[in-house]
Amino acid sequence: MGFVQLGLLIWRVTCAFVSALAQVFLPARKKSVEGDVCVITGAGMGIGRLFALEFAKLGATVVLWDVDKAANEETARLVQAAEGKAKAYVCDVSNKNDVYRIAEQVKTEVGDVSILVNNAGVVCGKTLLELPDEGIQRTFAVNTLAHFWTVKAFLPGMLANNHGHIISIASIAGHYGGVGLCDYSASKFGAVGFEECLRYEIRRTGKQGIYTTAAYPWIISTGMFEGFTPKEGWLLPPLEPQHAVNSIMQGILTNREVVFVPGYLNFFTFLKPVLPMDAMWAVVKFFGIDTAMDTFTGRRKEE
Amino acid sequence: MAHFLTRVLKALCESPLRILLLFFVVLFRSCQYVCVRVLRAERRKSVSGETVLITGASRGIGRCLALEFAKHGADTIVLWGRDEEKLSSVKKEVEDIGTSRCHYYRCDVGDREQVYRTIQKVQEDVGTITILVNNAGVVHGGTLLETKDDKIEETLRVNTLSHFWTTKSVLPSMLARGRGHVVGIASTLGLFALPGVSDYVTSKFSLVGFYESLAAELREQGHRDVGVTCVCPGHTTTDMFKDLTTQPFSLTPQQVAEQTIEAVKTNQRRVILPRVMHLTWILKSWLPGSWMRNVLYVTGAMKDMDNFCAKR
Repeated sequence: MGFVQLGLLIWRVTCAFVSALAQVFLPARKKSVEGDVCVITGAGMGIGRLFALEFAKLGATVVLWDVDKAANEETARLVQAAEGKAKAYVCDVSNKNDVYRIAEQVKTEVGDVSILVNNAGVVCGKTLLELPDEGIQRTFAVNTLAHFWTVKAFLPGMLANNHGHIISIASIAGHYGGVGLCDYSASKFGAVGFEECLRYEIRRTGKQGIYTTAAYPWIISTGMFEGFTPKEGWLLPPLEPQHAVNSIMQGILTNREVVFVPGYLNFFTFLKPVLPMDAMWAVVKFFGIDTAMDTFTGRRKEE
Repeated sequence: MAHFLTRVLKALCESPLRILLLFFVVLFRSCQYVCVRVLRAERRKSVSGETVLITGASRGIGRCLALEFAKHGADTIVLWGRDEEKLSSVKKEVEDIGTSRCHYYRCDVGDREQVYRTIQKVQEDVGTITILVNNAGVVHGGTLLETKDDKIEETLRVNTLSHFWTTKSVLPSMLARGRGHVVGIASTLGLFALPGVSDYVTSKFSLVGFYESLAAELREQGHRDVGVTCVCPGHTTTDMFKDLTTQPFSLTPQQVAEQTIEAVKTNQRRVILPRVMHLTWILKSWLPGSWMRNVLYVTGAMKDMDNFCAKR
């Protein structure tokens, strides 16, 4: 690496830093998603449903994917009741053939997909030795591998039109491991890595019209993490679903690459690489997250 | 009234005091860690007399690990791999060192049932395993859209899920005996991404998360005598990444093996090799995302991955 390159690097880093700082203080302009076709996985419940309503409100056609047909239809009904355009498809994202087949169907029936929200996720919430093997495989299939299949299905179309946005709803557990989260954390770490890779790969194609957003929310009170009770719950209470969705939508519409909800969780990302693990453990203990999963019940539904 | 007042007072005093306490604990822990590391005053444990299982032991880092464990006096070394010819030659090398017995088994860690069967066989033949080294890994170069679906699934199965299966099967006996160590060989690509190997990056990120959770879990359950180590080596001069052109701070597999054993002896939970890569991780977490992209462009890492993909 020569001096010229080093100088260039320092210049670019400074530019990146200044523009990132500017974004903190200057309100960025929101982009329009009117007329876009937006695929949302896991749209049957929780924040997937709220995303569908938000995107429909902004004039996008929402394509709803979920394994649960009834819940998915209900979301479609809600969107249509709010005078939005919605179309529901039953799709198990853990099955790649299903994803590819329905992606084709969407392309012919609705049109070119320009926004993809990878939102579907599952959690087992058991310690490693209690985890059933099928549960681990399912967690990976839904939380990690499904991102590969959906992106592979829709990215070529976005590249051809030079217009698109890929949103990964990961979790704060994608940055920190925790008790009772062996499979969930591992799968979400994977999703974070995948998103980072995807960001570079899209950038490398030179297409300026395709954006990515990674969202790392704290626990959202949608029932997915029912029973997760940190001792110091008042410090980091579970997020209201609507609040979380609003924050993430703000990030999406301003093309931000990374959105932490609440934003100050980003602070711990700064701490993690510099604090030894013992010190980080003290922080975790302080918030009472170490024992929070003991009372976990999760979403009780008949499979 | 008095009761109410105490409650208000408690709420007022407690939180700031506790936050202050947290601050001191964090500071103390950090100082303690730095001092211990600088003075090399860690509590050390010995690996002599242990039964070590190493996956992916036929070549590269796995082979060096086997030899290194033998040099440090491990009692029995169990090698797993897919190539029996290579395994038997590694076995001979281990036995030539003369301190440990060595067995090898043909096992594809990507296959869950096979892992469970082979573990069963190992436990019948050799006894309980006290050190597990999850080292097996594969890489397929190629941008996301070029990578075949079955290759992606294979990478996840071999690089990530295999660690679940092996750990699940040996952990109960470790916990029962109150002694043991689980080592995972991840990669620096588990801390920051590179374009062109998205499946590999995903699998290695997952590993970092897995070992972090596992360490937290064992700690919370009070099993301090069972150690967890996650090693993140940078580019290593093995067959795996031999097509990568720029190789700053390359490591030899021997170095990785030595550092891994050192980490096991001193019970370190996270090891980043070479040490300078830790700085990259810090900068990646501190600076805006576009910073890392610029580094990749300027250092030519973007192009290297292209070459790497093209050669594969």
